Amino acid sequence: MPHKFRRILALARLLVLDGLRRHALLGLIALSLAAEAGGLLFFDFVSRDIGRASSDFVISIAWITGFIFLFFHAVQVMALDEERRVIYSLVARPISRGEYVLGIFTGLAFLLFLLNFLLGGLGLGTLLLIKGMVAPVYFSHLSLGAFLLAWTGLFTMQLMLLAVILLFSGLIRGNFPVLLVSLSFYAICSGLPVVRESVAQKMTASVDLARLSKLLLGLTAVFPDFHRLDFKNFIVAADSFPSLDLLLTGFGLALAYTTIFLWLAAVVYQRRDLQ
Amino acid sequence: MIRKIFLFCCLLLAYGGLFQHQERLFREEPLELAFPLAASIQKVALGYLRQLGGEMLFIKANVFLGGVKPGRDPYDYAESLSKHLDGAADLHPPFVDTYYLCNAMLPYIGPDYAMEANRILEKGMAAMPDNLILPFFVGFNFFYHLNEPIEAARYLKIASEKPTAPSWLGHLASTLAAEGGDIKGGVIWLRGMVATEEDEKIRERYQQSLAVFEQAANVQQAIELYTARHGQPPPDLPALVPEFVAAIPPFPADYELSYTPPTLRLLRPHIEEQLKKRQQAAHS
Repeated sequence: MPHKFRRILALARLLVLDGLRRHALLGLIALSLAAEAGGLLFFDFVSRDIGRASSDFVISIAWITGFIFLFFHAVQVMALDEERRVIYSLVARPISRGEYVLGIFTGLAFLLFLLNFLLGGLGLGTLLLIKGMVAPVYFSHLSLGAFLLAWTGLFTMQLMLLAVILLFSGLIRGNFPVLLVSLSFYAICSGLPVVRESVAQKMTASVDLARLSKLLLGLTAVFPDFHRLDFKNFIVAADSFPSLDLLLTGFGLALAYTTIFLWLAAVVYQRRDLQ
Repeated sequence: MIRKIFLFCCLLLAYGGLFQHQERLFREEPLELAFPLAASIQKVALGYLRQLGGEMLFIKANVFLGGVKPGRDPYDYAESLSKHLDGAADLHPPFVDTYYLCNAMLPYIGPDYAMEANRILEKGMAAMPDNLILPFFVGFNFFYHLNEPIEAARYLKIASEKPTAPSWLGHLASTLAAEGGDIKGGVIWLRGMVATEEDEKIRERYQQSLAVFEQAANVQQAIELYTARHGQPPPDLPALVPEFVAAIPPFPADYELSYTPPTLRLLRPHIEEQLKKRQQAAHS
């Protein structure tokens, strides 16, 4: 078992170095830095709820950055390994294909963590700067706990998406189709809660809609509602924090979801034809 | 080579000329606020960024309003403006700036948009149950723009029950209730306020108001007795004297009893006068 972890971590280290070599992190940090600086201009358009608007802006920029990382860097990793024939030299070593998938996940997750860690520090600095620039009535409260919680929710969502991308990378050949399918997956995840809400509003005694509602509920198990891990609103809320039950359920579900998808990705990759 | 450089310079000049011409054309056109996509579509498209999307809609509306030339008919852009603010409230309900802008702009366009503003403000009330400004805005719109004092009183009462509400808000609500014809409601309200007010001077003022309200409530009761006996309301207040009340009581100068069968109202004529003057000034 320790040898297995060592092999996975060695591959993850390679992934991190490759990511750094390809300037994936550096470019995104530079982009985010410029965008966070834009936050200093953005809050000028808001006259009252400056704290809320600024924190939304800072976390949204981090989400966009993570999104770019996932869909334009992570999507390419497995396909590029095949195109550059790196995969042959990797699986020729005593590393199983399942370990290969886990190694890729660990490496990319670490890069994502690094990205979020840097952006989190940058974002917090921006918020403190803005808070110091405006009157307390417009930015009365900044909860560090809620800020960390919002960021943890964001990172968890990114990990869930990463696990899904790895499954699609095993199922589909070529990075562009994986990108398209992954984007479609995310679009369904964003759209499904809206459809559920709309059906719930129209649902009366109609059996058809009740069935549809159950179907949509089932689909939500596959296409998760990421909004449930969105804790942005608590950053500036002085006297509210999500309940422990809600947090444990949300993060527990996300952990189970990520594990299942990684497991499936490993199983699929075991059976994949590398020709 | 020289020919190529010459051609390139000509191309650059042509581009510059067309660019200037296009800028001039767009400067002359009136500023337009394009309709936003439906909030449900924006929620799908924006996903995690929906809050930022709501704030962007607010900023877009705000920037547009800053560029509207004086004298332009607000009905030109009212529908699009209300859709922007409605979308912003749907995408990010706890963002208060949307509601301040909504109340500062929409109700002044016309009564239909005052109703629309109230609908948007209700979304904010649902998202921020402790916020006292939003029900106050709705109450103000019902009173000032829609001339519905009973509804205004209902929302002011909601505002007066919030933890940070000033004590005068409840008094205002009871006054409006009486003005709209709900005199008994106003009495109950004022009694509660007299009982809970700690400041002696304010309590004294409330007691003076309560005495007037109770006199009006007696007249109201007499009207109800008359109606029960004759099957129809009295044609005027003197018809109640002396069988149902000994006399119509005198009211202080700042109150006036108004009766339009079957509704009895307790009006504040001097406040009405001031409001009419302000409304006329705002419209002109």
